[in-house]
Formats: sequence, structure tokens, C-alpha cells
Amino acid sequence: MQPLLRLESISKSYMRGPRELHVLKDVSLDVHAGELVSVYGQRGAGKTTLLRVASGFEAPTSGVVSFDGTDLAGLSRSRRARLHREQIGWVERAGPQSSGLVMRVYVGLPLYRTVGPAEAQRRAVAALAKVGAEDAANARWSSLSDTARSLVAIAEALVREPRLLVVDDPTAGLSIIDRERVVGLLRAAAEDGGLGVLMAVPDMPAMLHAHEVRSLSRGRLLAPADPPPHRSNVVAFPGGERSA
Amino acid sequence: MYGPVSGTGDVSGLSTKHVVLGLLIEQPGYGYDLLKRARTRFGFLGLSENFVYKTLERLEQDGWIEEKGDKAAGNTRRGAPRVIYRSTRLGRERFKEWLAAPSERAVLRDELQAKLNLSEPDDLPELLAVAETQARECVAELASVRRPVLAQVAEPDVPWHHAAVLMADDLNLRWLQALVDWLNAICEVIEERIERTSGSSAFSL
Repeated sequence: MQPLLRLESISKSYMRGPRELHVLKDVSLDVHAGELVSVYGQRGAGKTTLLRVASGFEAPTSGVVSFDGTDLAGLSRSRRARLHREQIGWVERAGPQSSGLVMRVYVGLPLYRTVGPAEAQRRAVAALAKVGAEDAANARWSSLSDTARSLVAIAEALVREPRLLVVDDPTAGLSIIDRERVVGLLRAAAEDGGLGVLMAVPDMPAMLHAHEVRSLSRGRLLAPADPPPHRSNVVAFPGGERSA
Repeated sequence: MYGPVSGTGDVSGLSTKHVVLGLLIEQPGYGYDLLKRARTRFGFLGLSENFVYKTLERLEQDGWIEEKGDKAAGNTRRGAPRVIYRSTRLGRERFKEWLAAPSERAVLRDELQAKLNLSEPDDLPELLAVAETQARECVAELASVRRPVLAQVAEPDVPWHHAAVLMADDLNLRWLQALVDWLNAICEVIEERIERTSGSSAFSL
């Protein structure tokens, strides 16, 4: 099966004064439809750059990013913008630029032009309900908790019915219970909605809700290596059996 | 090599005496039954049959447990009458004290620490490769960890013993994260040192 998103030998460098910073080094990664892939990394590991390159907001210095088999570098600016409107949902907790909007309007905004305000708001309310944030429909951004903001941000990306969601640390500032709820929701979006989801997190418990896990360090994505059995440090305690 | 190792010489830093006592407080039982229960719940302790019987003897001498004197228990595999033990009031008091006392803390040790300590600058490329491989192994190992659902602990409907397993799993996971973070951090600085030594970043400030 062709992956929805494919990163092949991606490198990304920036000039910082006289020094060239290699932020991503030879990163390869596939995301299939129906799959939540998470990338673990600490601050400065290159997570955000990886996500921005993966979603076509930044061009790689070398390597190929393809979405559904199409090389993003070959697309015109307008076709890329259309891809971002319709197929790639970037989830960020930035909120609306105008603070007066209630969330039913904000979440529906991307649809106003295509389906009209009434239908856009109807779909927005449905998207909010789907993520369990129906209470936010008539609230303003400033009155929302961090958890509600995360949920609204996911609803705002989902309302366009994209095929790929790209999510940069949806768990920042959340309690453990809410972290699991938000990450569980992204997994459900992949499993039930058939979306591909690429998520970066700085926290292993959150990462492990994914179907595929990777670790990013110093711009390199670590390929898993099978440890010799005696070197396992996950001790079964207490209660024994482990399940994948 | 990886994993929790205590400073007391005991593999776990855990008082096995209190483990056996706690199992008897949950439910009276005979030696072999306790061994089976201990192995299911605390398999990593690697308790031997002999050890369990000796622990029972010690607990009885201390007056923390006593024979229940139940003749209906049948015979042991060797044909002798089976002895069923139960906790005494003193045992239950001691157990409560143990629960409330500060716990023995396990220490994460890695053989790589010793290798670093005994190495010379010439060895750095090899050590870097070792650290990278270990980090990759840790990531692979994550595949065997069950999906973390620590939030379930907060739900009163979830049986407490199941919740305890979830919390223990969480510790294992954070241990693994600490190890991966450490390996990544030392790789970063070792790599920088190698680069600076070779002079390739002479322009950096």
C-alpha cells in the first residue's frame, strides 16, 4: 500500500551566523492512512522542523516529501495552499486571530467559502461534538482551558475532513488524564476516520498511544534495533504479562 | 544491565519478607500456593521455592504469621499434611508500618557508565556507536510496552490491583524514557567533542 505521506532522506539546514545548523539529517518516515505515527524527542531535537517539512510548509534542503505519491516540491504555490486547505490538517493551539469569535464560528471558518455560514457552523458543532468539546461551541478562546483549546484545535483541523493530520505536541500543559484523552482522540481519528496522523511529543507515555513510534535526536530519526533478550529493562511488575 | 538495581544487594530493593506477608494478609495459603502467587505478581524477583519456605519459617518465628490448623487442606506433594498459614495481628501491624515507611529506592545503572569512566578520548567513536545502538534498542523495546492508560487509576471502578499494575508499568516506561534521554544527551556532547577535536567547527563561537 502506498503511504499517504512519505519522507525520503530528508535533510534540513539553516545558516545561523557563520555556522550551518543541520536540523534534520537523512530522515525517512512513512505515514499510512489509518495510522497514528508518533515521534518522540526532547526540546531542540528537530520535531517542529520535521513536522513543518512533512506538511510542506518548509522545503527540505535535500530529500523528497511526497503526499499520496506526489512530490510536494513539484507543486505550485497555489496547489500547495489548496492541499493545506483540503487534505493536510495542521493542528496548532494558536486560536483565532479575532478574539471575539465563538468556537462554532472559528472552527467553521475554513468551510465558509465552500458551504456557506449556516452549514459551516453546523459542521463545526458536529466536529466539536466529535472531539467531546461541544461545550466550547458558544465560548470564546480566552475562556477555554488548555485541554479545551487542544480539542478545539483538533476539531478545527478535522472539520475540513483532511486525509492527514500533523500535530505538534498536543499534550503541552495538560494533566495526565487529559493527555491520554487527547492522544486517544488522535488515535481514534486515525483508526475510525482512516486519517494518517503524524504527531510529535516530548513524552513517552503519550508517544506510546501511536501505532508506530520513532525517536528523534540531534536531527536523526533513530531506527529501532532489536535488543538481545537479556537486555530488556522493562520489568514485568507486578502482574506479569505484557501486551503490545 | 539496564533496569532497577538497588544498593542493598537485593535485586529489587524490595523486602521479600513483606511481600510474602502481604500475600498472606490478602488470603491465607500454603507454601506452594504462595510461591505461585508470588511468581505471578512478582515474577521479576525470581523467588525460589526454598526461599519462600524459609521466609515462611522466619515469619512464623517472628510471630507475624501462624498456622491456621486446617486439616481439610489435604497433603503436600510429598504426602505430609499441608500447612496453611495466615497473618497474625502483629503481622498486620508490621505490614501497615512497612506500607507507611519510606520505600527502598531503586537505582538505574547502565554498564555504559562504567565504560565511559574507564575509556580514553581515543575510544569516543566506539562509545558513541554503542550509545546510539543502545538508544535504538530502547526504542525497539517500547514496542513491547502496553499502551499506557494511567488515567484509569483515577477511576474508582477500576480494580485496585489492576491500577497498581498500570502504575508500575508507568515507572518502567519513564525509566526507559530517562535512559533514552540520557543516551541522546551523551551522544550529543560526545559528538560535539569529536567535532571540536577534529577542528571542523573552528568557526563556531
